[in-house]
Amino acid sequence: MSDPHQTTSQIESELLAEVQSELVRRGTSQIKRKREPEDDTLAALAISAILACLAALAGTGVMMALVYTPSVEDANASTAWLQAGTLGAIARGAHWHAANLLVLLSAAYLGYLLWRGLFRRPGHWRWWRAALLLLLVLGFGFTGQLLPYDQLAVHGTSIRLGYLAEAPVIGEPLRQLLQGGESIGTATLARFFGLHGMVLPALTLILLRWLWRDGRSEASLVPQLGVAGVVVALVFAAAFVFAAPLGLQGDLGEPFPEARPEWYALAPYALLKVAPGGVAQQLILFAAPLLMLAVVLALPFIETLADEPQRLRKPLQIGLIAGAAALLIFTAVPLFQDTSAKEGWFVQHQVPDIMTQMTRRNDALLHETQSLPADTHLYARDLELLNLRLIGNYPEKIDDAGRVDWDQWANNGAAAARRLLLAPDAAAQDRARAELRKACMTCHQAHDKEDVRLQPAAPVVAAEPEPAAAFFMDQAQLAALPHTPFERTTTKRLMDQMKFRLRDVIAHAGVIEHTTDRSAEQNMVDLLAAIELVGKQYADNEGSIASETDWNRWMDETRKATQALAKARNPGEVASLSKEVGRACEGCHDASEDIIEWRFESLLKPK
Amino acid sequence: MDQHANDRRNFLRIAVVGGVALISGGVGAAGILLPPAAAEAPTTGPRPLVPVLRLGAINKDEPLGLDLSISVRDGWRLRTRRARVFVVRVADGDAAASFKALSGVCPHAGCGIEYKDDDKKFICPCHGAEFDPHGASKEGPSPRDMDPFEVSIAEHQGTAWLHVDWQEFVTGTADRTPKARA
Repeated sequence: MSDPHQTTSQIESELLAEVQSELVRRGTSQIKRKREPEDDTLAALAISAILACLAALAGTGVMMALVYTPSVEDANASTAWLQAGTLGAIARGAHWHAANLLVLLSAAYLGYLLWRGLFRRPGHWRWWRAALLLLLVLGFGFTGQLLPYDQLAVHGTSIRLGYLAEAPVIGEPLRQLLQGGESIGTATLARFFGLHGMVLPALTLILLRWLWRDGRSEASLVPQLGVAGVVVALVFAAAFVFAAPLGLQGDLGEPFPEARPEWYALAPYALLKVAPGGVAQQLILFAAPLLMLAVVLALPFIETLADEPQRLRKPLQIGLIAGAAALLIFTAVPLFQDTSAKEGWFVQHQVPDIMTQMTRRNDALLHETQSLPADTHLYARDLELLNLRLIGNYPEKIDDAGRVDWDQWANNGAAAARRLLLAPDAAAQDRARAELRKACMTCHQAHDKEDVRLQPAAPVVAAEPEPAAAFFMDQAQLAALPHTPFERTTTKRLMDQMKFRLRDVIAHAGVIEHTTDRSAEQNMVDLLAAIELVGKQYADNEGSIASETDWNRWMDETRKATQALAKARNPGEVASLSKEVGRACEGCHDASEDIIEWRFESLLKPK
Repeated sequence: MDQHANDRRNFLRIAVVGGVALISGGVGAAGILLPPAAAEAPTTGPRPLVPVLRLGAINKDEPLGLDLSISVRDGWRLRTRRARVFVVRVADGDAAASFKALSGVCPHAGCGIEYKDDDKKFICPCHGAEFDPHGASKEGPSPRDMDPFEVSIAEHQGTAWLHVDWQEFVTGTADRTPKARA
């Protein structure tokens, strides 16, 4: 009779024993039991920690996705908004710390399996899953780093995508696909957000089905739960102490001396820094990682093929130690270099540089106008950050009392910028702006010889490129349009035509104030037609011009200058090229005795 | 229950659900790969030149960093972004040949190059590439000199201005190849 308190496994083993005895009775061999991978307590504990990290990442990630907005204007601002709230800051901090820990854990897990030889059949699937997990985690890192859209995000992603583009054949198409535009921007953010928040989690979820089983162990569940609890507690405690970093709004056009990769990518970074471009770089970027991946995947087979698999264990362990040591050394080298040279993460921001960055944002805030622009939040957050950078960062020749004041003003500025960011209404925004301005002004008046106002420095005008049209005038129309019929074709009348049509062309370019009812192209066609006709009329002017050769030369110069004018690319070029036409005309007028004196400048003067 | 029948049912379920997921994912991927066609063919002919600087505004061998506003297609919209260009006078006179315009994008890995006045050299803060004030590679991992833009002189806002032919170049290669426009 079966005992009602029997567990399922007890029933299972009893039934199996019955089946076996039945099979033996029938003379068949022992049934094959599915072989299970070697049970390992430490591996199970590592999986517990990894699962705890994944759970924390999923929870905080979903929460952040409810606020985060993937667009160039909003990504940094929405992250900052999230970070401005205590709970949001903790969620983002926990996500950041858990992500970093997960990289460490999944690498350590893979290393541990290698050390113990746990890649062996029948445990080879567990080994491959561990490798896949590490790849997924790196994928999460690659896509997740861009999302805050701060300087580190855009510069890092720009460099990584640039490296990716150097891969043979598929590199450039792959970059285009990931980037989704000519430059990193909203299209890139949408893609990376989709990958980070949907595609990769879906893949992880599929992997989780087996990862969950890998974490099973015959040992007690208590240590496993304990490890998971410690990891979660650690991650959230860390979030309380160190907030996740969030830098200035991403802008590839602004220098970013802090540009360094994540800590786990410092080793390849150190190599790339000294490697010459070309083959060496390709080896570091693509050949070495792919080779490592191939070895990891093939390891279970390599061992099966070996005559005495056990003998491979020691070399593998030595290789693992050597690899880890090399990784540590190459990670440490750039860190030591940067600490001693005060570069990268340890860069000391120069006060003039900070001032330049502040000026740029203050200009964008349009302090001279009444109301603030709609994208004030973009600049407010940056101004807070920049003001904070001024604290403890003194210009030369400043005494101790000055330093106290300096910190005070910078603090006031940062506080005002924060109030500007979080202002509930326009009036509060105006008050915050006034305070920000006051903080800046107080400092400037104390430290500058002259009163420095918050006005655009404007050393040079950076003009936007002209709109899409390559030429000022439509070349197709110039080729196709018939000229307006001339009422009279005496040289005098045609000269007038030339004069007025040239005037109308430069009027179209905005060089002079004049309204004309013909299009710029029509004026140009008429001008060219008039020149052609005049060119044939040397006979009319015989006597005033020495020879027909001279006449033809002047007309030819005028024609060439006018044809060049037709190819002007923008109003500025119309202005300069029309002057050339005028010069050709003037040359002829100067050379002739009877023809009236004419100056190009006469066209530029309003009547 | 028949074990094989059970296996088959499971396989069918996975195949159907997985197949639907794959096909719908594929449609989504095709959406990325085949974006809506542009309203018209890209503008051909010479690129519009960007006026950057009034002549006489810079001294010899002292590179000046300028920000250009460049219009780029960003998915479903056109956006302006800033691009850095350094202009340096290499000779006296007001001919275009007296000026050099250098891209602020490092040819090594695409970081933003800075000019250090004190050391009289360009430095890329990322991997430590160094260039002289005329953009020639001096030290570090850069495979080539800084990328020059073609310059010309034309009138802008009533006076003679330096115009540059702004473009982007593929990074990391010894050859200078203009980047294909997406």
